[in-house]
Amino acid sequence: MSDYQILPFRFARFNESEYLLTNDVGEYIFLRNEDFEKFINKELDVKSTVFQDIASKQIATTDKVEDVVNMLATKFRTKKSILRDFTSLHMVVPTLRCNSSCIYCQVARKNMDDHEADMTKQTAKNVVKTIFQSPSPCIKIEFQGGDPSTYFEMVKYIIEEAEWQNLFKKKDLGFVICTNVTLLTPDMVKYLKKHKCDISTSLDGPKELHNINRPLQDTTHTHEKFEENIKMIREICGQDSVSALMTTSKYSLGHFKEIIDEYVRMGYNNIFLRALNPYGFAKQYKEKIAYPVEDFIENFKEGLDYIIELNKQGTFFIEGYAALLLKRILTPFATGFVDLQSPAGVGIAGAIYDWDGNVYVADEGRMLARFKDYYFKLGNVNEDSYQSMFNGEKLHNIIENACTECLPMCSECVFQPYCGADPVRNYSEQGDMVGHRPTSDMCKKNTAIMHYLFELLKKHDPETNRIFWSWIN
Amino acid sequence: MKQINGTAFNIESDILGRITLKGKSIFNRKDEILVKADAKDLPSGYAALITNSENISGGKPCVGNVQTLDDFNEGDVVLINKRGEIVFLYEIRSMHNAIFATERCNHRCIMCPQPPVAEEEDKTPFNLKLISLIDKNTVEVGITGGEPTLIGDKLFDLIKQIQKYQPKAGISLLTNGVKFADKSYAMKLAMCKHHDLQIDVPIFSDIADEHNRIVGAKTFYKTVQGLYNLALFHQRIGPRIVVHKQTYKRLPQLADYIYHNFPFVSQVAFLQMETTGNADTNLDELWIDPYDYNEELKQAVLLLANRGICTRVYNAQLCVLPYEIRKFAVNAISDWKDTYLPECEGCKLRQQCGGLFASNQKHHSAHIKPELKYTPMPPPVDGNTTISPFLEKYLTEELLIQCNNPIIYDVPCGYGRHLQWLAKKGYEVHGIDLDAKALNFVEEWKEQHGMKRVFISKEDIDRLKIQSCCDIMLNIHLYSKEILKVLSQMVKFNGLFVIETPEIHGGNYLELPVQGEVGEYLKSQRYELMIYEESVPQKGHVSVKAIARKLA
Repeated sequence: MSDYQILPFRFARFNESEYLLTNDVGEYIFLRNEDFEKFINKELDVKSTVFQDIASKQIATTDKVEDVVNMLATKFRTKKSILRDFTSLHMVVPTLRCNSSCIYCQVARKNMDDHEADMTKQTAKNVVKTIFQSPSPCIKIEFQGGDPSTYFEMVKYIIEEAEWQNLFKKKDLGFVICTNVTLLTPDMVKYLKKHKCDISTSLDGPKELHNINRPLQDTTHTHEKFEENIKMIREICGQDSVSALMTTSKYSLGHFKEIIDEYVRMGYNNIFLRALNPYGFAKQYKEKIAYPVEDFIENFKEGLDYIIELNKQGTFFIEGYAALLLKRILTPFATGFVDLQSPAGVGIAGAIYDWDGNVYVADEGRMLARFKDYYFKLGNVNEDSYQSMFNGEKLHNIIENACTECLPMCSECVFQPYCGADPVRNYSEQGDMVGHRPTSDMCKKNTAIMHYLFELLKKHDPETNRIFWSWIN
Repeated sequence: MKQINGTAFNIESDILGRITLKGKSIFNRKDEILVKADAKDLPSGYAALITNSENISGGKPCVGNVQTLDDFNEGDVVLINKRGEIVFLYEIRSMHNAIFATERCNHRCIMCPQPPVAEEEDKTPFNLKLISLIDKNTVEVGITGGEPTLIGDKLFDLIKQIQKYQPKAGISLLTNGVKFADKSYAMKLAMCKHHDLQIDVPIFSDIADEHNRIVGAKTFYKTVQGLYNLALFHQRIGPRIVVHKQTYKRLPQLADYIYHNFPFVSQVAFLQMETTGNADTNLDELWIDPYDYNEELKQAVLLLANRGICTRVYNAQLCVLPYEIRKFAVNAISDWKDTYLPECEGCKLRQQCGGLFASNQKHHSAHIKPELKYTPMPPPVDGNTTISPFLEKYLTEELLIQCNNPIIYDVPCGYGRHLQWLAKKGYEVHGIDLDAKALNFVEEWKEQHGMKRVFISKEDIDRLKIQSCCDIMLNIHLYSKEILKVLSQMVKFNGLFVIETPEIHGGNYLELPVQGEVGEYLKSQRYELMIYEESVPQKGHVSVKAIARKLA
């Protein structure tokens, strides 16, 4: 028996011969089976390299436990520092009108001449008022839709209303507009530039694929129009002014290489290989566009390999999801990605304000409301106070069920420190916010991707490691 | 510390003063020490006199018989004592001046270069005066010891004094950080609001026990708390790791530990150990040839640099460091400490290299060797030398005869393939190179074949300063603009300059010329281009083959 104290850690059999150990602050170490056995039986020599490596990661210690716990506490605070700010991402839906008809759209989209679901000025005013009651020093207002460019007057109204409010609040205020860009004119773009509103769009791949996934209603030349407007925006705002998101539909599978090539061709240096969240669809519809999560995982790995290869050949190009997870695995810092946090970012990191003033904890909560399920509605800006919505029973209850530290199976998962909870998705797919991990697609996807990243890290290939760090920094 | 000895006259107690060579007005002399050659006595008002003469009159404090008056600079601050010792406490021309806050310490590091004393008088009044005498334009002042925090709040008096007298100076405070575990003490430091203060804190291991053993005190977690407190007050922190036998093995793990636990640090420094004081005493337990920890050092440095942390390597000799981390090396050994070895002669890296601590002359890496500007082609097998096709084609017997028994220089000559070729034809050939092995080879060949008209010398081409010494200059496969300049001057009027620049990067040269560069330069030096060929083996660069005649 050696004299050491084992500190809290999680572990999993990583492969035939090794265990992976992680602790709450995200430090990890691989141990050979025999070392692991010895370690947990307190049979390791404290002077051995393997024990010192474990101690260096603060998974065990020979020192006073309080001293080490103090350090772990500091690191834990850093990792969770995102919580300190409270809600910073505020998504606003000025209208449900849209000129696209994307095959995976989950919004009750309105036709271009149907003004029924346009936000009123009174509602907009109350939305901004509510937003500025958030204690966060950073406020990001993100326009969603519909396509917000179809009701640009309201976008302008909200931007200016927010700027006015901020004269007094003096927060770090920023805007993003999520649009298919096809309706943007040079004047609109100049306005967005002047008001420091970033532009975020969707690009699903090369022309054929993009046009299948995201056709415009009035033309077959979706991709041409898209490319033309991207060019126009870049001329006005600069090369890096439009970010793009991809969504994987059934038709995207097997084409990740072409999709990545298209991003490179279009002058992007990053992509976020994103799976579809096909919940909330009618069954027959789901079959048309959805696919087994295993297919996405295979495609993701191939895509990631291809991107690493691109980097090795000298093209700096980031896969955003891997970069996010790597930052969590390799650095001591917090990462502000709303969709994968513990506690989940719902309400406390991000919230969405629908055209009618309804406030939901997440965009998916708004989708559920389409089917008359208002479980994730916090209230309405025209009726409810900020306190009642953001410090109410409902949000408390949601957050209590959204910490991976205590969710069944998450709490002992070796990947817990890097993962996050999604109560909205659990609720809609599995019937309750806690969910059931063995049948959860999200769990399958995340654990598979993290396992793969650890496999890559374990290779200790200096070139791959250098690429990973170039993504993180 | 720099020290000069002389003979003391009329010195009762230590005198601290500022050196003046040109003298100061009578109202402004109180703290000035006049340095004057052949002085007999001291004009009134000065604190003391330093001179080379032996006959001193007048009964004023003086150090005479000092032979090296050139070593004094206007503005240096010295302490002189009754033994005639002049100790330099501040050198105006040095970048590495430091205040020794105390000689006491609460650590007993096994490699401490200046082992601490148990008790001493309070040095602060003396240090405050010292700071007041230091030049106001000083760029950096160190505060060191001992452990400076042992003087408690007086440390802040020193910092404030520097703020007052050297408002532009940065301060680097070398401390073990233990005292800053007291949050209020860390806060007081922050309250000084110094504009450019870096706190350098030695950390020796990611394992508390190891660190504690090395510093001789159980303070690891106090230092950690100290770092956290300093970070809390947004202080700039630079961990320092002295590398020796007991620290080198876990350098990569330590680097990772620093990144994960102290990501707020502004810089991490790795230092080669200085072998004085305790380090000398405990040498057997500490010494490792720096070459032998290259792998660990490289991993640690690259790990931190990859993570965006400013990383530095101090006190290292460039030739010993792995190529990948040479750019992290800083030439910052205090001026009075650095020195070079005979092996360093002719090394192209010498300008950038920190050299050695004077104290490390006994103990240094066995792998110190000059980095020459190029490595010669391997030796020719006699009778089977490969001559450049260009020379064979154009440097014809006819051309050589025209030159009328020419003196030929082959620079660099390497193992002498062209030198041998020409010597065998009976010409006087001078070979210049820096590679001792290659030159020995040529020397042996010369002896074996009784070549009386072959002369070789070991020189650094860049530093050649000979003019108009040869009728034909051969410069084969070593090109830089500098070399072109040097060699073109060595050619006599009507002499020939034969040049063939390399075809590819890597190997026997420094750089490749760009298009037209060689021709333009030769023309500007009044050369007539007899043969001039440029080819483009690599994008943007050319390879030149030329024979040019220097016009009278």
